[in-house]
Amino acid sequence: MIIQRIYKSSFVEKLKVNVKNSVDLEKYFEDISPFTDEETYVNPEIEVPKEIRLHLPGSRNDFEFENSKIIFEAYKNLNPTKATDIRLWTYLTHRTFWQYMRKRRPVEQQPKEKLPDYILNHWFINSLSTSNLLRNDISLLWWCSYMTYDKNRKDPYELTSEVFTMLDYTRHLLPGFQGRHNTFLRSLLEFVIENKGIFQEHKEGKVRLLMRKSNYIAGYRIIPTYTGAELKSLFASFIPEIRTVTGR
Amino acid sequence: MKINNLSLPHPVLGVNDDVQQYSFKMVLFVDLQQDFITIRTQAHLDNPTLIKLINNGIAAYCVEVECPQTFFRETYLLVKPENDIRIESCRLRNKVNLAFYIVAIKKISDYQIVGANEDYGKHTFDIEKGDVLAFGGSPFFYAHKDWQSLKAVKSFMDIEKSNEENGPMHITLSNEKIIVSLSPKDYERFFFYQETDALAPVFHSSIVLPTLIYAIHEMVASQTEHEGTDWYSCLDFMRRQDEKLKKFNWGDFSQIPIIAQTILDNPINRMLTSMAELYKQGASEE
Repeated sequence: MIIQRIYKSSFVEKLKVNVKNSVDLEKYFEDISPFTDEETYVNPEIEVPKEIRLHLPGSRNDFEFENSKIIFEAYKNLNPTKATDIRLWTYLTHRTFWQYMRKRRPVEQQPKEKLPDYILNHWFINSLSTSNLLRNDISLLWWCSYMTYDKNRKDPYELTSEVFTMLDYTRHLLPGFQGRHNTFLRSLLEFVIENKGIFQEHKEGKVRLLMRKSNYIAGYRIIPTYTGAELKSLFASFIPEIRTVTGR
Repeated sequence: MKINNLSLPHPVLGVNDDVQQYSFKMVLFVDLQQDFITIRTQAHLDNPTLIKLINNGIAAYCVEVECPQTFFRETYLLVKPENDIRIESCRLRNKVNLAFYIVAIKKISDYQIVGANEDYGKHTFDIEKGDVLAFGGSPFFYAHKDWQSLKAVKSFMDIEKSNEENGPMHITLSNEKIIVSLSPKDYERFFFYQETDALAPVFHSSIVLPTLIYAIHEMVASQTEHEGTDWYSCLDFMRRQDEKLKKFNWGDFSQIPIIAQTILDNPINRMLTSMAELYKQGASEE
């Protein structure tokens, strides 16, 4: 085990300013990380394995679910406050997991004018928010497991697996106000898993409808007062309408 | 749920004039410790309909706690008027939003509430579990480890060595702290003299004061850009808690230099006093 390094705040800000001003963007095209450990601290409260190997994304599979488990297991002693440290995630994207980032977010495919925002969204955490924590590609892996890992399930990562089946989960559900309530999040994911037949076709459109209907009711009722079973019963009441969805 | 923007079909105590002559308030006290944060609530309710519903287990006090930065959102259903809610401090960071309600925890048929606005007439309502019956406000607090330590400059500002050999002082507003970067030579000298008490006012005036003026200006001029940062929450906490700082109009840019000097407890005066004493000491030694 080794002690985790994190970047200094001033260095993170300097890197961000460079990217915003399109300075040194060619560094993000390098196969090996051009950044060093020079502007770092060690954080003695975070111990990690000496080597952490992520599956490199290919043309058919990003391996986000598999890598989410690897990151969460490696950083299991992180707590939520430490996991909001922008300096940590910036260091991990720029140093430890550089090769993963290069494969996951190939900058070569981005038009020049969109490149700064693309890098800021995925290599950095532009400002601290739940949405931005899920846009950084390493932070995403940890937080998705953290929010869905359940040691009481036969497969503790069953809900994590579901989260990575659709972009809507990580873009809208998890960072959203309702999704942050853990009982609601888990109940919705369980409902989709337990009703595979209903969601087999047009899954995206149906899950979106489910989220929309739930958000509507949550707008005037405190649905976090519901138990998991009551929430699933509420979701079940939407089934007739869900079945009518034939598109996205 | 932004309840003040809603027009619910049934009367809600604490929303507009739905229910008159009665009130629901929650007194809040937050105890910040290293491992746990305790949220102490004390409910003050005088509406007989709601008191009866709570006593009969049909309604409950509801405290919603939400931290936008850590994905934390929990709802606590409480039956006693006084309660302690304990949350691990590692689950909360910076601003924590609260909301106080009385909610139905069982279905209620033919609901009416004493004191309902006469516009409701003799109408009754069917209430579902989770429906809001009263709203007691939506305060917030900052989940820092120690509120007292926030007053110290070190809680929101750091001084570092830059890479520029002979460059000027730079100020960076990071997500955590305000960073002042000094050239290596300047930093060495600062590091050497920083423990000398007599020189502290000099550093406050020459380094901290201009930095703080800049940071407060940015805080006011670009609130949405900086609102989630740690240094912003420190200054915001001071603005709301410190009696001397509450008096200022923070939106008036001309007051910002005065605000900064108030936070630093009149650094110019302290610097000149200190310099005069150092000069006298030097003169008497000659």
